[in-house]
Amino acid sequence: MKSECRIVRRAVLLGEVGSAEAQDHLRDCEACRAFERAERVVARLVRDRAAREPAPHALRERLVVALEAERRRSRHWWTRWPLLSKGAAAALLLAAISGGIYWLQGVAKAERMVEAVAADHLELASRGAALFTAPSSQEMGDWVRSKLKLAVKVPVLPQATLIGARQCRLRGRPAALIVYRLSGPSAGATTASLFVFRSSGERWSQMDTLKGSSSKRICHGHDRGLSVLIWEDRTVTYALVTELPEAQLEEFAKYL
Amino acid sequence: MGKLDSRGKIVSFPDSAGFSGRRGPELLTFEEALAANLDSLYATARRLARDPAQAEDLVQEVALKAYRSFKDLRSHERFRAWLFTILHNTARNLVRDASRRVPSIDVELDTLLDDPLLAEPLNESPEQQLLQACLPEQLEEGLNALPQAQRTVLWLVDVQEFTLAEVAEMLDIPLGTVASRLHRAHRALRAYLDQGAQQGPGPKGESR
Repeated sequence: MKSECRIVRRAVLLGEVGSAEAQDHLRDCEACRAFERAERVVARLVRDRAAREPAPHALRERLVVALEAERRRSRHWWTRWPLLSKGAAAALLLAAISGGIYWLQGVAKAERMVEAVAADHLELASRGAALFTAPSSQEMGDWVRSKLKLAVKVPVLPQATLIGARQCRLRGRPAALIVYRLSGPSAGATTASLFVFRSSGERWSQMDTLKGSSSKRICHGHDRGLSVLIWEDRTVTYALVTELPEAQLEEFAKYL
Repeated sequence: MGKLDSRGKIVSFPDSAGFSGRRGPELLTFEEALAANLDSLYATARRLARDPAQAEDLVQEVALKAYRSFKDLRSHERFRAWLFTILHNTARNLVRDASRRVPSIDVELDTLLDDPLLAEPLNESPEQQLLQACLPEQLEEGLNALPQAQRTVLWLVDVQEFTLAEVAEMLDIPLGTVASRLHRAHRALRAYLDQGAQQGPGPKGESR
């Protein structure tokens, strides 16, 4: 095959026979003209006579229904704005992680606070301290409220004498300590220390709940062989530390 | 629910939500563009699928895929080629019909041009004789005897009138391969029809 024929036939197959050179060659070369015509004849035959089935009516109906269903589905915001939905999912995940961290931090804070009140109770028992005294729990309450600027209620405990109160700090936080002397048959001459302070995100929910509680939810923990009762009232947290066994604590709980 | 005209053609849909804000009034809605191409889409699906039911499934799948990404189509002038590209990509996964697939071996265009047979003119019947003698059944048999790859290119170029470049992009193959397949399909079909005209219908023709 001559090189000119090769070039022109290549152009024929690529549908690029518009150039003057190609047209000149086709006019002069019978073999290439036959080649080009053979391509064109078969193409025309196929174009004119190949069967084309029209889309069935049932298919058109199916498409109308399917596209309408797809349109309804795509109206949901999370499919129309996938980036936003991904952002929302990420935000939820972040919030869940943050919430989990915050929750765990709260649990840890509660555990540390139980340790702190138990330690302070033992320290007070060992070295003693000057206390503010008042003739009644009402006046004692006034004094504590004035010092802490908190709505503290000083409870009246069964078979217990209110000895006095003083300001202190618990893990760097302003607090008040109210001291009772327990005089019941099983109490001996022990004391109970009631710490009051502003609630600050402690999660007491991991602690046991004391049975026999009144309307308050009273949590019960242990540290250094002491019982610690914890309850919250609005923004105030109360932590009562005693050496009493659990059975007596349930009786206590009725008065809190 | 959309409306159908007396011939069953999709003529309207309830709205074109999701598209109207991004297109001028001169542009078609997705449904209008699909309806204008539905017959050729289905006819092509019939060539790719095992039976009419599979072709309908194929077209529905293509329509839904196209609907979901229509908003991303930058040029609506490319809608038809884009739709057929989705059709062929979907067909690759959906249509599993080995019986329709005659193996095809691609020959590079330059290799093809070096074939000494190309220098020989076909022992062809005159054009008018071929056109008059060719029965629709023979043509269908001849088309079905072609390897799938050649038949697909032949269908897209000769019947659907896509350019070679469009088909190359649609099937993700080189332009030279499209041209080579088309030529070999023409040659095989011509040989089949010439033989059929002389001997009656039968499964003959080039196999590669």
